[in-house]
Amino acid sequence: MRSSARRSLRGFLIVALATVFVTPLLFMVLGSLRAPGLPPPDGFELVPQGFTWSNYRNVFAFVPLGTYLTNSLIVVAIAVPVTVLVASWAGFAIAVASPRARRRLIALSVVALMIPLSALWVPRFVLFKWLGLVDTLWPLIAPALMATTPFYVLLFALSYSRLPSTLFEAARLENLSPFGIWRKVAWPLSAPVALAVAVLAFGWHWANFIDPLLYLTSGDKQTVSVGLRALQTLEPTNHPILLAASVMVTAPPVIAFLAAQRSFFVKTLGVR
Amino acid sequence: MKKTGLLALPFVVGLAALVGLPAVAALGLAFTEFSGVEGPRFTGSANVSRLVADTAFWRSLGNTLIYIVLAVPLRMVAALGAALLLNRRSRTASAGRPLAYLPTVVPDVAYALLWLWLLNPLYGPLAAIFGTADLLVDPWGARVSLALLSVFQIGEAFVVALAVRRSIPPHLYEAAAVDGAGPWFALSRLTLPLMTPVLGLLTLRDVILSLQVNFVPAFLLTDGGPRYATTYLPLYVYRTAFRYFRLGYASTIALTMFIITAVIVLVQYRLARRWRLTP
Amino acid sequence: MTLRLRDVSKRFQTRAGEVKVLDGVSLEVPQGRMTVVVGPSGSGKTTLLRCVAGLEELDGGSVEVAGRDVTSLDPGERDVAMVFQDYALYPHLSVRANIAFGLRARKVARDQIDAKVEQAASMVGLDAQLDRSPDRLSGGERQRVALARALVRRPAAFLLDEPLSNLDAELRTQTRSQIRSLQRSLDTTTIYVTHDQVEAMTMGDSVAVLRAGRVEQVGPPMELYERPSTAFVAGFLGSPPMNLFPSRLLGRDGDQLCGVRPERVDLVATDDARLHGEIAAVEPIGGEVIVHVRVGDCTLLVRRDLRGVGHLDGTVGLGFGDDDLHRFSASSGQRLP
Repeated sequence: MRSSARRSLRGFLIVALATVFVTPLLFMVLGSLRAPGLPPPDGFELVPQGFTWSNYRNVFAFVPLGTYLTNSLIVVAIAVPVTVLVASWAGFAIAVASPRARRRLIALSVVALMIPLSALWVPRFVLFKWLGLVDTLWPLIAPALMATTPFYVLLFALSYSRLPSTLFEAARLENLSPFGIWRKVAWPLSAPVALAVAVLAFGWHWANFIDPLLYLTSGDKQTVSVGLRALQTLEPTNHPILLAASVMVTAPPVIAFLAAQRSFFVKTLGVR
Repeated sequence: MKKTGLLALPFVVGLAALVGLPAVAALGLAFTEFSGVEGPRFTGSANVSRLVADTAFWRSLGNTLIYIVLAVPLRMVAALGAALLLNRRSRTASAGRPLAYLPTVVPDVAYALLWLWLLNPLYGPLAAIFGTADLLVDPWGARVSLALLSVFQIGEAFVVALAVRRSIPPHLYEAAAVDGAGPWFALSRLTLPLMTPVLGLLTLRDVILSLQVNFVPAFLLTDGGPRYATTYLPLYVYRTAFRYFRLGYASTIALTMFIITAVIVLVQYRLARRWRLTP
Repeated sequence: MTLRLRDVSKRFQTRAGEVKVLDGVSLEVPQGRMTVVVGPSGSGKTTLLRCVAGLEELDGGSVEVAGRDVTSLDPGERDVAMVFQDYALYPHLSVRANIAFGLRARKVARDQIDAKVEQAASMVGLDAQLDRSPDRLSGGERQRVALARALVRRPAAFLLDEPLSNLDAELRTQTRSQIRSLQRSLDTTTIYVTHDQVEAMTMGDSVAVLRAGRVEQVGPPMELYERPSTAFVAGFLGSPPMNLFPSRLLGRDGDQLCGVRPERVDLVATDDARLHGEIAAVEPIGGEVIVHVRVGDCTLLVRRDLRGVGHLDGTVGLGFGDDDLHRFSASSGQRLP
């Protein structure tokens, strides 16, 4: 049948797409395994010349990656839970608000989503400097107060509005306050979307480069992104070392995402 | 429901503090001279006249527009294509979805370092396979490279397109099939028109994101070069503010970004009204 | 342009394992006739329709439309039109474009499209709504758009999937006769799926009762009513359906089920009665009453004209003629001669 030909063409295209999207990441790993200081390869090599794991150890000799990792972990440990709570509350408010209030909150989120962060760098910097928070981790954590990005609020709103509204109305008849309804009804049902948002927020804060670049001046306060940048200024052409460090910085969010992807696609977005 | 607004309060307050207040501050600072140490000192429209005469600013704006023209269509086609390809219920599709999102999860700095190596003319695998020259020393080579590498990080647009495609009732496709519509007819007369409002929104958002996302690659891969070819607005703002400590003037540049954003949001709002999406 | 299904079977994989949704269904709808497929939910009637439309691939058997085997053809190539339960109107297109969609897909010339669309719209009385958007229409109007979309192509067969289930009671009666007269005047072979046995009895030239993926009985409505071939059909058709009770209540031997229609039972003096029972409830339904009578461990229903019955209380006798008594095997449910 023709539909089966179509299906296999589709399958082929999916494999091609996945290959194109994943290959660069495989190259990141391959490149990190090449012995440093060797002459350029003669043509393409799948197994790197002088295959070695030592680059991973040697990264720590160039930069204090352990300190950077600790700082990044402190940031995500505070920012991720706050993001999930703020996004969950706001998403719940959107889902159960009157049509008017809902439209306003969605419009507010969409407008906020549209504003380029780069336009806010300077005034935010001035504000945090005025508050005396420069060279602390607080400016890095602060975006969690606005749910990191309104996208996460909209994800929660989408997931809550899929629940039957009679569920919340029934809880209201039990004389629960809005917070009580969130706490007793909505929140227990939001594990998948909370996990998805947590993983995305983790990735966002982990990768955040501009904020530590702007706010952190002391070497021992840097996070992993700026640490990678520091390594690049030290060893601009030592690709194996740079890639080994990149792999170590990339692995946590990638592993977290792959572990949570079912929550994200199937349960949050409803895409089976 | 009464009082549910209170639950949105932290978010709204956060937005006010981290977006609203800075936006107002930017408006104020735009008309001052401010080094971050002394001042700010009100200078009236001096920054504006300086901006108008600033060739570096106009070049950055031009570079940003070139980036938008190169990257946004590619990114949108890639996001839409991936969403349409991966929306079916099948084992291959559900395995493909996370993989299409994966490059988006890679931290920007690591991603930039990866491409620095991939594009390296001596050591890089792309040079080994295709024998490419050093793309990043050529202005257009650098521009095209930065646009191309952004095409891999389309996760958000991809999942939004995917969710919208999924929200189209399957019955419509069955009705179309019984009506004799082939795959192309169904795509052009059903799928695309039904997705147009959201695709429009996504495109506008991507245009605005272009005022932001190209900072890291321009900063790490090309440092704005060669010959300022990849000095985009964010990089120019960064340099003005944090390398030359002209915070007042940098706010003036940021203000132009707000204006561009406002215009785009307004256009989007009017389009959305026409499509009866928002009130 | 006869529509013929031969031994059609369809299986679905579920978590619980494989389910046979259609199990060797054969059905023939002669040219210009309407067959109503009726059955309880889960009996496979919608799947049957989707198999004819080509929206499901068969696991066995064949489908023939107008003498042509269409079993392996795509839906668009089968020359059938379908009206979906939720109408499946294209929300971004006007009524006109909705009706024209199938003609466009088939690359019919533009001037012909306009003429055909207008003709179809006037047949269902939608002339004034042609340039409206479907979401501005009432439920009944949407339903007619779906009908117009089906008939504009003049297909060899109509497939209607519970087209009235989303309408209110009044509109339903009205639309029922409208669909019937359209179908007659177009002389188009039609399969009409419903779970409502009143629709089945009033609309079809013939009725097919489906049960668990098998055709229980096919025939003209009155034949199914008068001579149901199984206890299931007897208990499914009629309102209220036939009383079924074990033969021992009548003092007969054998493992049999007896059946008698509620409207054929008389309330008689206890001396002349074939059965005796206690009145459990009396339900007035307009001009008639339905009397629930407990006989042993069964409840029998009696449907009577309100005027004929006086005060109802206590013990009553139930009378009916031998002609009105149906007998079925208790084990197989098959009709006994």
